[in-house]
Amino acid sequence: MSFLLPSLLGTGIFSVLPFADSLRRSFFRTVSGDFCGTENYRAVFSNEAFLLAVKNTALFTAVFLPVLITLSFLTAYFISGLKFMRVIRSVLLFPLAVPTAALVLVWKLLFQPAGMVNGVLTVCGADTVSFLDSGAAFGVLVGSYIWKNLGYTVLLWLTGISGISSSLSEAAKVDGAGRLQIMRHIILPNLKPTMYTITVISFLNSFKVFREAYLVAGAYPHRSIYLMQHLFNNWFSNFELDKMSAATVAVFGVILAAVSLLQRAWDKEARA
Amino acid sequence: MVKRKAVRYFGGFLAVMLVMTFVSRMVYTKNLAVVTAEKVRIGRLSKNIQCCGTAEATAVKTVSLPEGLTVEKLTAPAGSKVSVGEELLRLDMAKLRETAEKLAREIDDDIMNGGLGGSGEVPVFTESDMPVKSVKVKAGDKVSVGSELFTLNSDRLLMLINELEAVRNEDIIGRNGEDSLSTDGETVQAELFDLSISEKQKKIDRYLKIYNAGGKVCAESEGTVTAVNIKAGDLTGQTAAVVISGQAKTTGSTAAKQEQLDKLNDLMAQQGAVLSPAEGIVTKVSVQAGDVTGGGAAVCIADNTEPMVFNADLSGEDGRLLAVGDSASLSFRNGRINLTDNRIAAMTRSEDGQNYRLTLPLESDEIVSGEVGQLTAGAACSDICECVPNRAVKGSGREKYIYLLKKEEGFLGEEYHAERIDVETVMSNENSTALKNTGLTEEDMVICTDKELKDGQTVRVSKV
Amino acid sequence: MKKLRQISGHGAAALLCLIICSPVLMLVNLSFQDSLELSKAFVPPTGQDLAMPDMLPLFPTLDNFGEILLESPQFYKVFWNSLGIAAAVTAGQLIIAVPAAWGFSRTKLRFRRQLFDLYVLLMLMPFQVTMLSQYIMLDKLGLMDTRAAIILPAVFSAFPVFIIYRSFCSIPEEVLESARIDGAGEWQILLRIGIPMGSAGIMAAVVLGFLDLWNMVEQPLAFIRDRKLYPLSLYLPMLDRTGGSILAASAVTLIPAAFVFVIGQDKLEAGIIASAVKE
Repeated sequence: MSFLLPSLLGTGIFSVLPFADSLRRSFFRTVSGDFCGTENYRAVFSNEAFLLAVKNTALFTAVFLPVLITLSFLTAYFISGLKFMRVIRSVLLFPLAVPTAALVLVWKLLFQPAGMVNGVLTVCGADTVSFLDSGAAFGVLVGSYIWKNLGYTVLLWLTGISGISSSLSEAAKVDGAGRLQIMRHIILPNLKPTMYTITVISFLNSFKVFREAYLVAGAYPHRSIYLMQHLFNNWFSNFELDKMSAATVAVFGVILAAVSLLQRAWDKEARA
Repeated sequence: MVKRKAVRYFGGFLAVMLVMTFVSRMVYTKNLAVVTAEKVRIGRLSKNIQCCGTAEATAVKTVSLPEGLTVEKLTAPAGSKVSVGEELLRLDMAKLRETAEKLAREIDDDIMNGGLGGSGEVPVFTESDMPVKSVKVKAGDKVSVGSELFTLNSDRLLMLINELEAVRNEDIIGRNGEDSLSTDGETVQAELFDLSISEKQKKIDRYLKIYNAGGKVCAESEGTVTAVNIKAGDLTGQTAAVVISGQAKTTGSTAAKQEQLDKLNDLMAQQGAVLSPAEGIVTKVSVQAGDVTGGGAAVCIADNTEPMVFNADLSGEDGRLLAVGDSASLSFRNGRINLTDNRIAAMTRSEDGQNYRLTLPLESDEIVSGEVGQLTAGAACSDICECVPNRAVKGSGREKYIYLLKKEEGFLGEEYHAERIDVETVMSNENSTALKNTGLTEEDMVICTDKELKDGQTVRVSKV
Repeated sequence: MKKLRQISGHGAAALLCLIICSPVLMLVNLSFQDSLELSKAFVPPTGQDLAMPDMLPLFPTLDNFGEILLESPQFYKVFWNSLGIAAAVTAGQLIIAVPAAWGFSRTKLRFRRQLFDLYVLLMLMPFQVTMLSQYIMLDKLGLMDTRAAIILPAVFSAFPVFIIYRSFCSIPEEVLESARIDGAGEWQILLRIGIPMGSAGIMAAVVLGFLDLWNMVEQPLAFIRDRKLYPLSLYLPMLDRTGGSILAASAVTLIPAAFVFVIGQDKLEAGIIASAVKE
């Protein structure tokens, strides 16, 4: 029990307690300290920037997660049969180690209006796209973040896949099952716990995309990549704490709900 | 194994980074310019303007001497004080007399030679009975020495010359014939012959002269033609062919000569002494003992009875700071004589506008004109300006600039930067320069350094 | 047939690897180009629309590195700042999170599950959600604009607990039982048995934590104003965007991360594997 104490204490001080205070604050006005009920919440929910940011963030997560998971799974499956798996694993993990700030310049280089990606497009006969200043920025963000996290996720899948005893798939083959059938009926079900971890971790990381966005496009980027984190950051800089508290509580509630749902779904699966 | 090595390399990397931290610091420090800074002062800058000038007399009297005289002795050299009537120099009496006599003779000659009443009219005669080929002047024309007046018929001239020569030669033969008889009567005859020969010769000479000149008759004096009595085709007569009226300033004119003669006579009466016309200091003597005067001013005397002025030349920059009415103090003879409270009476600009000339009235019994003195005036800037030390101002001409010290919070802590600002200077004294309209306040600090800085360069400030 | 598949498979994999690595390679490549050559990468030549950087430096130079490594002590300041933060936080995390993970995995408390879920929840919250609360706390404690403002909250992060917990879970109970029978105290068990056996998870947490900290942007952005305390990750964006020095600095920034990654790679993989196995 004593093991837990310091951690609990610290977490309590730095996470739980302040959050309670945040909760309290969300019902008050920052400057004057007057009680104002749900006014902050109303202000937040009617705030256009907030709605945009939430929409973008939700959209990003909704796009990023499935794409990452499926892509990495396919890659992992593809690689799992190869000989140089170890080396490839290491290579794939490398992007994780690269500091974002270092890469930002390269992203700019690639995606600027006169950049290399546009060059490739022109060669292929397509039009150039203004990546950083239009809706395409969203795609750029998703793409670059997937690039960063692919290796990590693939590794997780790989460990999961290699965890499945080969005897099972051998037996299935003998029984005459095709590759696809093996995949659907043996591999996938056994990977459920891996998928859980992967989802959790990817979900966690998906919010960190703010770093990329901020370093590439600054505090006020193009509409399509104006995330919730940008909003919070700017509110903080402008010291609009009441709105922030209300939004914090709201977002917290949403995530709480999402995670709980996820947990319940998984538990149900596991039990079943 | 790889891991072990990796750990070692990482450790090595960190060690290298540590060393590099110091190295980079060292390089940075070396490139850092150490400067001093001072606050900007707001106020009026004043300056002591000093310049040299001379005391000059406003009235200068000159004494001129006729030319051709010899100076025997220089009694009052330059710088000596003289009073009215005092002897300045002494002329050689003998030369004086000689020159006077010569002049007198000349005047007589002039009068005899047909100076018609000495009114200055010069008639031009020529040989009579000569046909005139052409007349070059008319009444009213201005002529000078050598100007062609008219031309005689050369052919006729030649004919006459030959005739005369023939007659002369006859006379000569006749005379020679006479010589052989040496009786009284014959000698008289010879003398008669001689006379006739010489008369004829004279005529021949005159004709020859005109013939050799191409038949041209030229003016021998300067002036205006008042009458032309011949025309082309005429035969010249006994009267003057052309009359020329001389100018007033012709030194050759008789009246002038008379004047000179009077002067010479005066000088002779004074025993050759040249006296001073005024009281004052002899400023300039153009002749020395033994010289022959050449005309023009020989001695200049600065008149003491008239007031003196002090003239000084000032550069435009300083001149702009002073105005008529400002007071200045004048100091002469290394400070032994100090005159305060003199007001600037006049300021004139030189032609190119770069310099000013100041004039102040000077009242002193001791100072003599020509003495050099020092003018000191205090000038204050008319506006309140931002003043910075002289060392802070860099550049030249119209492109001057200063560096401001800007403090910043950097990654290494407090950092100072140099920010360049272009400025316009109003004036400067020995310590400070006043700047115009820079927008600086007393909070700003300017960098005073001899080093060359760049805009934005980081500097270190040594605390004053 | 299989051979062909193998070869094509390897070929595809190689291509994949190349694509994955290409941004980093480009970064290193560019850092050796001088500003003249670099301008080709950013500004299209006249008459054309596209700016193509040179794939290999035609006029390689060490100028960029020189500028960063020799002439800017600021770089070193922020470098040590970042390193210090990462080291301090990692150390603190180990001290706090290892016992906590141990506690979670071994204790049979009633609320263990819920508490752990709370931790997971907290871990999943983006920083921005907790940003305000942290700010309030830090302000009250007077820690704003100090190093502690970043270090302390990070020390109490739930992420390492999560990772390490997983690997502690895989330790069979029998080993501990036998140790207890031998008379070992709980702390001793943790130190002598738990940590060595769970070292995979711990290393994984350390490596992942370090990489995350080396990249940290949001916390210092929000909580630190004093330039002297800035980490490397915030210093880099402040350099001249088109100059070569930012590339050189980025390249140097890569190095410690690469080192940590290489050193901890095995354990990292093992740890991830361990954490992937559901309890």
